[in-house]
Amino acid sequence: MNIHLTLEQLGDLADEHSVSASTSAEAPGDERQHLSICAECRTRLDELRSLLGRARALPAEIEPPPDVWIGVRETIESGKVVPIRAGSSRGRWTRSAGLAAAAVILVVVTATISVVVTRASMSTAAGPLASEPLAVPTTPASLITVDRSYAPTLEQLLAALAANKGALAPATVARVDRSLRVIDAAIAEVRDALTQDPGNTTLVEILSASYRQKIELLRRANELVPTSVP
Amino acid sequence: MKKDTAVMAHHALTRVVAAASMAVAVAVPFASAVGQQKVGLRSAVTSTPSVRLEGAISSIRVVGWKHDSVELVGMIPDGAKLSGGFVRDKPGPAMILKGIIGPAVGAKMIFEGSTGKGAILELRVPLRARVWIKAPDASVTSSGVIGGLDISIVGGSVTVSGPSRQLNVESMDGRVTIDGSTDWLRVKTATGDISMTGGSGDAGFTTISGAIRVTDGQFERAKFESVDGPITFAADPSRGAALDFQSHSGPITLRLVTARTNAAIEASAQTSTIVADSSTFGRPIPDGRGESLRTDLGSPDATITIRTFRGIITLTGR
Repeated sequence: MNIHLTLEQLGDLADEHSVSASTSAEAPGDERQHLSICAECRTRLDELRSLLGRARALPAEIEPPPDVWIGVRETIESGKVVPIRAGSSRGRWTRSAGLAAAAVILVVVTATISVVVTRASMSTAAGPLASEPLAVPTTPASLITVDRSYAPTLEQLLAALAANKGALAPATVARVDRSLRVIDAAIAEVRDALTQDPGNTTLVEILSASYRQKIELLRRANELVPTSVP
Repeated sequence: MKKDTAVMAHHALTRVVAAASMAVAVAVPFASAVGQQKVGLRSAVTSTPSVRLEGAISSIRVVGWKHDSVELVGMIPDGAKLSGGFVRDKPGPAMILKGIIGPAVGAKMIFEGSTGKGAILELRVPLRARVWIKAPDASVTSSGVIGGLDISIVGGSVTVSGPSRQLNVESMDGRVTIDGSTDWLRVKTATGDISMTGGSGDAGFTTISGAIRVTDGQFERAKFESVDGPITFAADPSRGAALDFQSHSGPITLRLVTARTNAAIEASAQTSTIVADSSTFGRPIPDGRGESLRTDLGSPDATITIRTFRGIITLTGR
């Protein structure tokens, strides 16, 4: 009777880098002998190796889309049961900051849509008879996509930092502001380059990295607010 | 007989009340310390406690030791206040009946300073403890803690020695120095320099204007990011490694032992240049306003990706 190799045995064999195609000098004797006569187990081993190879090629971690942070925050906030206290400055701030952030996001999204729609209609209106190119510089789709994906998170974090600045040491605020200026200058530079070369995916990656750096800096700055004593 | 039973019942009730009161107060607070005085706190803990210290700390030395206990000693300055304490699980019914107090599962202590001065502390924890420290301007040193460290500072410095499973350090201006291998590692600074000697299976180094310098050790998956700070990598990619280097204007320098490096290298300098030993790495080619280079070292099973907007990329042997 031919007893096939177990999944565990196949896994051990597949995991050994030195094992060659179907038989190996390093595989245990019985398993090697079985592999040499059993086409089914050889096929299963090949499939397992292929699967492991593809799994190893996967990235160790994937950056979540930037707006996930908002969803997480909203979920946390919605789960909180906060008693409303008359005259609570924190409650007032939370509501005003939320409204301010929502207003800013609304303005940014509306303005972006307006610009895109206006440009599209201008291009259509100009039609083939237009002899002069439009003076309005076009914003590449890649740039709009990157800007849009990070803008809401940035707005929220900037609003939170503005509210938290009073609780941070002036020296810390100065440090954060200094680093923000460095990142903003870098972002402006890459945005310009991307406007000139909209199809450059490396620039998109570099711009995304700068936005992530800014988000990370703002998050850390907000977390520096001292914890209140229980 | 009746009296004995009554006495036993009374004692049992006393133990129940004592243990139950502990169960309600999970974090046991202790009196605030005022004035320049010594701190000396200790408790039996589990072998993997979580210890969190936060607030006005000037310097702290964390030591992993072989005892299942936590000890915090040091000095706190005038006007400083210490809150928090050791944290215990709620005891089960059997423990309540027997009046047993189990080991603490952790500690949370907050130092409040009023004079701008911070506490000077030494913390001893079990080897496999997880330690969180959040202090605005502290000098933090750690040795022998293999469980995990999570440190957040603004200024000051962080120095970690010895191997650890997890290490997460966030700093604004503070310098971060790591000497030892770490399974999982994240270091983030604004302007603080980062230097590491030792490898990691999964590492992330992020800075805005600080310098990142990594020497020795093997790295499996690692990401090195800066805006205008320099990045220097003089370690080795392990088998199947994926290393990613990125900067805006910071120079990126890789010093590889080419004889033992098996990697496909892809470098892109968007508006700047690539300096490479052409006999080993080949010649960079013009690419838009900058240069790019692709080359294989040995039998490539690792990938090294380098991207910069206007930093100089340098590839050399060592």
